[in-house]
Amino acid sequence: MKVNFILNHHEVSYEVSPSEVLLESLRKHHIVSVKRGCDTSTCGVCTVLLNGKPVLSCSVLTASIEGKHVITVDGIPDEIEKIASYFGEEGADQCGFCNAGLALTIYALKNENPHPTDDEIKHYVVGNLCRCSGYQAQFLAIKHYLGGAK
Amino acid sequence: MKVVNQKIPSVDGKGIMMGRPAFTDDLSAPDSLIIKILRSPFAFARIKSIHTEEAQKLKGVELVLTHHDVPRAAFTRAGQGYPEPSPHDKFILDEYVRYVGDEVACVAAVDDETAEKALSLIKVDYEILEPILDFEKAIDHPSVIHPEKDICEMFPIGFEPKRNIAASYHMHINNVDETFASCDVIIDEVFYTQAQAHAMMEPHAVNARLDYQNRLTLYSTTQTPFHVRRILSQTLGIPISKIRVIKPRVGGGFGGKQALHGEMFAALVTWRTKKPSKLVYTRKEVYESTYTRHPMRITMKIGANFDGAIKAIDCHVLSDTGAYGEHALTVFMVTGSKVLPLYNKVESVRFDGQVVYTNHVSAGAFRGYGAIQGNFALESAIDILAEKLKMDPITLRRMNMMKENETSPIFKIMGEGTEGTAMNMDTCKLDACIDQGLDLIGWSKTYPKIQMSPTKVKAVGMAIAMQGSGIPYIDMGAATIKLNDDGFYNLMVGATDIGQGSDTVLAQIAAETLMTTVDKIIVYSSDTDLTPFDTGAYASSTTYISGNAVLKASHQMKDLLIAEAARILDVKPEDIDFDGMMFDADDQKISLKDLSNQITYNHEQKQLTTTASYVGHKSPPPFMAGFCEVEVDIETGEYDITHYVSVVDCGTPLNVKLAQGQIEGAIVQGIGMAKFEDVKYTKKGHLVSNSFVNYRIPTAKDIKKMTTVFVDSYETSGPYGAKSVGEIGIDTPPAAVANAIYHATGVRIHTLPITPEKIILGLKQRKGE
Amino acid sequence: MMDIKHYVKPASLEEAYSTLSSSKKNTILGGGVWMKYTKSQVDTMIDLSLLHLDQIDVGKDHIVIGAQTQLRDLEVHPSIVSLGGGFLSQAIGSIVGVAFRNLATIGGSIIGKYPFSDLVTVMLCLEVKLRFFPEEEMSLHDFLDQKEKHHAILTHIVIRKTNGMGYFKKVSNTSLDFSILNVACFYEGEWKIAIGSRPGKPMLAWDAMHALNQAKHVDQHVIESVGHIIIQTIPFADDERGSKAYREILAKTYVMRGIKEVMSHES
Repeated sequence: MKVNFILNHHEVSYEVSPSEVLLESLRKHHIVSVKRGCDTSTCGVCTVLLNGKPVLSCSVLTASIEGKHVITVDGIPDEIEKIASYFGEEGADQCGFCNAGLALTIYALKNENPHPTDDEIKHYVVGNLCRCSGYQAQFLAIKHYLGGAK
Repeated sequence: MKVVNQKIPSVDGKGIMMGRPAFTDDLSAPDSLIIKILRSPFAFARIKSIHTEEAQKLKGVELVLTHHDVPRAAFTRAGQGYPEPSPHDKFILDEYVRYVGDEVACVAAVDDETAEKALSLIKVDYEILEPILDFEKAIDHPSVIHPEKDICEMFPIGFEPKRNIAASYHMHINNVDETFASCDVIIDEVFYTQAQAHAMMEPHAVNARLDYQNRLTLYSTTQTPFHVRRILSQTLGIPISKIRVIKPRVGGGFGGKQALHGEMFAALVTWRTKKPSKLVYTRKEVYESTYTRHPMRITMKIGANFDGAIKAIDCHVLSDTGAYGEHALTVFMVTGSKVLPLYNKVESVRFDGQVVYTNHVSAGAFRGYGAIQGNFALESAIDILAEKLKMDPITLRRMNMMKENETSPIFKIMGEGTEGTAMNMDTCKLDACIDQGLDLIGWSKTYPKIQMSPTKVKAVGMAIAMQGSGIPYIDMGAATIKLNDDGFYNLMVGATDIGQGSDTVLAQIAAETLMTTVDKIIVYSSDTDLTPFDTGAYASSTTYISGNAVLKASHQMKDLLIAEAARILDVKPEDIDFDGMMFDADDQKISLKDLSNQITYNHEQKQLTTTASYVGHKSPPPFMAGFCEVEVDIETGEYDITHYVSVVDCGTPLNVKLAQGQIEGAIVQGIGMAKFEDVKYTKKGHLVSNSFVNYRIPTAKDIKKMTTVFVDSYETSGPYGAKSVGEIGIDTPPAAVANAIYHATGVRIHTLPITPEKIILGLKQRKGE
Repeated sequence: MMDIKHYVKPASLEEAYSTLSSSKKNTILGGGVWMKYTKSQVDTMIDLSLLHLDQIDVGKDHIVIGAQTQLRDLEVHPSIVSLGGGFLSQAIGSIVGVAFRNLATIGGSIIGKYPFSDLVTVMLCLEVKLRFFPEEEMSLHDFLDQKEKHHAILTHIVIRKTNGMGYFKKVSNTSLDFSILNVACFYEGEWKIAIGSRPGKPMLAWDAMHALNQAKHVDQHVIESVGHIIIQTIPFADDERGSKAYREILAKTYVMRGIKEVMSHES
């Protein structure tokens, strides 16, 4: 079946099977920034923005997104480069596998709640697992990106 | 230092976050055959018959392999020095399956769906055998997990497969029993450490293709590309010159990718079908069919005198290596060799034990590599001893621990699999680590505990640790530097960046030496065709071993450049002043940019390159003191680690932020092991903890305050004074947490993980309920 | 992984129900987050997104929530944040992460009858009715007790507005883990106590509630005895997350703390 949606500000039309999830569809179309990390909707590395909200692309049937907007890091390169600079300054970008999903999540946070408390930041990103960094440097980078918490 | 010991952003973080194809599965060839593996549903069984005709007939299936179809050659999957200190006890596919998840057959098909369907069409008739699921019952169990005749050890490692022993070792210095007889106080404790899963975010992946020279090229998430190449060649009978292994960006390894996983199948499928192929592990396969940490039972007997002098340590280990013995001996030896020397003033010491086969998931390399297990036992025991001696645990440690310029006879005796290397601790700042840590955690305010409310208690605990920096006389790293026109450099290293930032750190070393900036050093790493040799990312070797190779190559390049400039300016090399950009000889000068363009295009053209190698002659340990503050709810046993202080002596931290990241990441993995991570099986040997749902790792909300500090230290044998920093961070949390919980509650936990349930049930027992 | 043959987006509830009833292998698309946990064969996946069942309507006495409303939208909605002092919002917010809750629906979370459900534990303490198509309304409580599989389509969840005060505690190993135990307490003139993840499904602690509601004056002595009644009357068991003995300790402790905390807010 055909699904028409807006990917990174461009209209696209994908031919998909009803079982296909968005993660698979995107990677089939060479959007490799979206990663697969688990089989149980638990790790967050596959996060994309769907109509501006962070969602797990491994758990979205591509058939269900007719007419919706999907953003991956490829769609907002300037903003991602900015986030990457903050991560680089804090040494928060170790293996990088969780970074794209996390970057989209904090971009969404900035739009939803521009001045979160420390606890609100952690609550928002807790679903983005990281095994390399221990979360400290990531947290500092996020705070710098958000311009300091209240 | 301008570049080294600074905060330098990584060379690759930006590109990766911006989504450039970088990881193994991002780089698979289009139309790769999809490989799927049929895995054993039984913990121990023999394949009586296996029929693949139906699967082979399915449209879209290109190849089906069983143990009848593959070369019969025993090998080890371990990426270790060669000949390996690992038994060659693995076959590509075998008649026996030895754990739930072991490989039974391999299918290559045009897509996922067809491959899955083909798996379901393979008919296997198993003879179910009695599995060994309790490692304490493995030795001389009626079931023999490796009855094959054609397996072997590469050199004596105590390999007795008929008794289910993969390796064993014994050493003693003087006579512990005699020393114990003369001690005032003796403690004798047993500890159990659990299997832990690496849970790196990127599942294992590999893809293979034939290039236009008909050579086999693999992209793999491996920590050891050169070992992979050799093992593939030896096992498949393909000339090693026909194989190329490339490691691209890797999404975390921690030791879990320091062995072959899937490479053998991808290589075989592509070699036989001549088509590109790929195998990407599911998360379930990562849990069930790669590795865990070795679970161990460790007995620690320590004898001391009333004045606090520790006289003897007697340590016995039983380690569970699961179905295959890849890192059996070496992890077990590190449990002794990178732990016991901490208390080097003893009169006698004994270390021995066995590593047994069971029908559990294979155990393998995992950050800490035995040292975290041994540290939990020893540093818990030291606190227990302190209490029995009625001595402050800090005072007891200070009296007995390793100091700078001292040594331990254990270094000479115990290496990793073979003899060790004697060495003095040219740098050991444990005293300073303890001083600063005590201050940062507020030890004197809290020790041992403060009652914060009727239900909440705050307490502190600590542990010291050591690790190593590469394996002397075995680990070799090399670097090649090439000058380009326009005056920038390529740095080719075999060293494997698996996210720890070695590409960046090695570039920093080169940039410092060549007096330039990191953006002028373009790093390319881990390609067996294009980069010089390196054993790989393990044993905390990259900064020290590969770094020293880069340092040498950079110095050599600098000499070459100066010689070239001297020729051009017609002066002696001693008369040249080089500041990284300009060659100055009083009234003459030439820029690096002009020099490089001249020798590339115009006059006396030549390509300047240098290559240098390095093998360590010692393995200078990094040291650290870990301090843990806990808040315990004494009605439920729940506790928070409210502050973890790490004070580290790693010599010069070459990249301040990346070094801090190594410590913090490792501490959090150590906290996971201390608090709740646990690999669990059913009674039949099925892994219960086979997803992120049933095996949890720490999250952003679970980690509270962390303070990480590096003490001043300069190891002259290391590049710009550096030792290693990759593993040391993981070692202290289990003991530090156990000691803090004891101070808070009086409950001493001997079996990891330290769960609230164990604490509250322990508290109830103490109250006599 | 689910294997789905057909995908439809009906324009009406009648159409949706007709398709659902036509085969046991047809199913309603929820949030999608539970798809990976099942290897089931689905003939037709029914997407209800054209039916506007994702609205939250706040009336005078009731909050009417469409079954397709995402958990995250509920979590941050002002009427839910203020309900019971925030204990429902807190319970919802403890479920996995934001990206998960932007997909998971309230309907899916209830229909699944998950024993570890944080939000169902809290909702048992409130007056909650479920509306189905074809026309049918039943209390959440009765729905959870039902043994047979329900064939109607859950369309709305109706919560009676209240000024009462609530308490919710989730005990778990990590912030993302399933609970070892869930405890909810609520007071609005009378007490409600619910325990979930025992590891069994959430249930009201009737005997404990009775003792509490009968007491003339709720003092430490009464609270202690309520704690004992919990252990005596609520069935707990072992599973890989915790033992029966541990769950009993947790239940008693947190019910007692919950009662005290609710009382301190009330005064």
